[in-house]
Amino acid sequence: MKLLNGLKVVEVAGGIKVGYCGKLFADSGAEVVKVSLPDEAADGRLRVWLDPGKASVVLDWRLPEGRQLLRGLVGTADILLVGDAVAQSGLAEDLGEFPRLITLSLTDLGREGPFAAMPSSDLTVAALSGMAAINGVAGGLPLREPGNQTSVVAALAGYLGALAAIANRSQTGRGQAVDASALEAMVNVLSPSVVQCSYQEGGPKRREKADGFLFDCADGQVSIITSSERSWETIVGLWDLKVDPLDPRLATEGARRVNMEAVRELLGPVIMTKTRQELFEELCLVRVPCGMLMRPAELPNDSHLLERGSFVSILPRDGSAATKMPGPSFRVFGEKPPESLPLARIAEDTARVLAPVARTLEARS
Amino acid sequence: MTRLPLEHIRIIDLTQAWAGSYALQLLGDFGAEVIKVESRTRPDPWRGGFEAGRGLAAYPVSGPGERPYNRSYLANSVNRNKYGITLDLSTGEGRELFLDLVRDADVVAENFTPRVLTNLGIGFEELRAVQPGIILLSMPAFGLSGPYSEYPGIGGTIEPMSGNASLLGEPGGGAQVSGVMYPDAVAGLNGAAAVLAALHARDATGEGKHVEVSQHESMIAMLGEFFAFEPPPARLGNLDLDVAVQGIFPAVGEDQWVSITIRDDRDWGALRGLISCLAPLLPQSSQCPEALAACAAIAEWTAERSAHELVECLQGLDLPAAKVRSIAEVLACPQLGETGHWVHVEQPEGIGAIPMPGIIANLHDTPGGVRLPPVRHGEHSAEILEKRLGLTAERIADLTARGITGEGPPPA
Repeated sequence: MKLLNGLKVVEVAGGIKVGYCGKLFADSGAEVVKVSLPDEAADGRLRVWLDPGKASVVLDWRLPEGRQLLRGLVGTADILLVGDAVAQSGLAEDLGEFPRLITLSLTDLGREGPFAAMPSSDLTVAALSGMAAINGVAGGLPLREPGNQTSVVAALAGYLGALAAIANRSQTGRGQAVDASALEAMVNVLSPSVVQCSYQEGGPKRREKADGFLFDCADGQVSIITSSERSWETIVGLWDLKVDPLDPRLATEGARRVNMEAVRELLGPVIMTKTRQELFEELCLVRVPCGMLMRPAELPNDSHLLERGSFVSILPRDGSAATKMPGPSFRVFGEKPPESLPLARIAEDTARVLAPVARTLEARS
Repeated sequence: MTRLPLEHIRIIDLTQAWAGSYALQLLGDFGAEVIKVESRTRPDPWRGGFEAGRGLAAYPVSGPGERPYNRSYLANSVNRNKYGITLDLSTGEGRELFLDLVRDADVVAENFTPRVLTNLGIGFEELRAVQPGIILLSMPAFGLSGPYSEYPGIGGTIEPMSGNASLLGEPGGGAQVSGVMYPDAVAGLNGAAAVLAALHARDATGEGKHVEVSQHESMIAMLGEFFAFEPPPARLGNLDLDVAVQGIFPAVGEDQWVSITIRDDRDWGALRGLISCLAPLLPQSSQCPEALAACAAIAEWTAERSAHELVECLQGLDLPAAKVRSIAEVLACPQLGETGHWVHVEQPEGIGAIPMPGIIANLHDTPGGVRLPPVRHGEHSAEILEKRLGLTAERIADLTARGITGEGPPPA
């Protein structure tokens, strides 16, 4: 049994924020019905990422009959999940007469306030939230995190809010409206940097060197956290390094953090003789944090991730090729994620899902 | 008083640093009672050690003060809405007191490597023996199983291991790591969600659960869109897989930048009205020569204008554009200011009140809130032992004198 078995989510109209939030519910065992408009473009790559395990219903809820069916469907759900465009259309309010329903709206910049109507994208949020300003190299181009990560963070924030509302409903019996914005969620994620601004003048900035604590090794790069006293002493002892005790650049944790070039000069010759895997194993075994620089394509074949069953085969029901995708972000200890998940054809579940709704509506009338 | 959505939930927090502490702060923001349990010999590393200047020291401009471990901005950014107690879990007495706290708790959370809880004799089975409905959240770097499970990891090593660092950086340039230990925050979001999902399951079955968040896997999950490509693309900088023209472009002035996204033909037409040398047709993909040429032309155009002028002009044409804000400038963002997002929270040891990010999601009928300032080391030790566990003042004084509980470093 999965953690969210018994919960039903109706996800209306696309976008990555809403799609990923629906995926989070589906990953944990909720029944997720994705409702698309007949003229909605379906990006195959985004569907492989966002839609496995969901039912696919096509319904024109802009028409009166479609709206009635959607209302009937939402009446059977615990959570109605909508994005920017639908949130602004008033659909959620129009459907929100069910006392136990939790209506979750996800937007880039917020439902109210001076930026609410501003055009936006994932990059807009990266720029406004401060994330881009601290990624990259001092004086150089600010960078967003790869891909649409502000949308994913918004999805996680909305997921948390909706689950908190479910916990509240378990005590009161009442649902409510919940909203989350990518901007507020990213600022929350950056809490340490935000607080730093009030404690220390100026706040965080882009670092001086692009590679930070990445080191070149025999077959690629590794990150090694050399700054802490314990890690430093362990590395110096392990590799029998000759450190000048009077060298102020290496004397303290703080000094090593800002003098990475001196650290590189000392460690580089040893690191260059070893592979990523050798360094990772050797250093982690003595409790020095080390990470191999991996390309995404390498990950599905990584021995650790293979043993944990961390990747799931997505099997499109239209017969197209399977794709290995990352599995759920959390799990019950001892339970492996499923080896495969189906990806429904567009509209595959329309009749199965809507027929009982239509029958109920008919019986009522 | 309005109900808080998680006010019926009680959590014992053994986590340290960012990921775990943040997960529990998120739940505390929604009203859960969170008791942070620390040690008097090894405080949370984000406190920076008992002596000024040790470890990850990160004090305000007014200095470390007498109790520097209560003045680190790192610890104080992720530990509001918590009570604090110290217990020496390596002693029989400390362990018994901890289990007494667990008896009426809903959740225990930790982010050690897997063997630590077992070695302390407070693994899931021991917790379940005193509280059958307990939910244990474990947040080890690489999960509780598999060949890397006992290896240490922090954001700066998880980022390369997850593929994020190989994708972060300018096209043709080297790999980079984020400006902050970002995977910690991602794991924190997932940790909080895992607890809430497990609580939902417990409502249905009455059974406790041991849930795990591998920081490694939770960061890999952020990159899902890159795995749907065969082979996955290389570093894209600020380009997008689905948007043909997008970037961050220079403006007049030092470190002044604007983001611009061209979503479709309409946006392209509007931009061409401003930059006449752009080709008539929107490029087909972000990495084709036409798109790269367009970005170069846009950069030439923006470099002659102020960020303010650019944003006014582009937004006036309904184009997604924004000034790249430093974190300090984010504090002055009109959207966050006018919607009342910031909460002014008193900081420990006389630092004063500062703006902190508000609650991560808005529950309209039962919103969360900030009720407690960032917790000082062992701040509520005596109060919890007396009121929650019924210990006498004499017993508490004895435990304090022996360093099993109390505030600050252990007695000499």
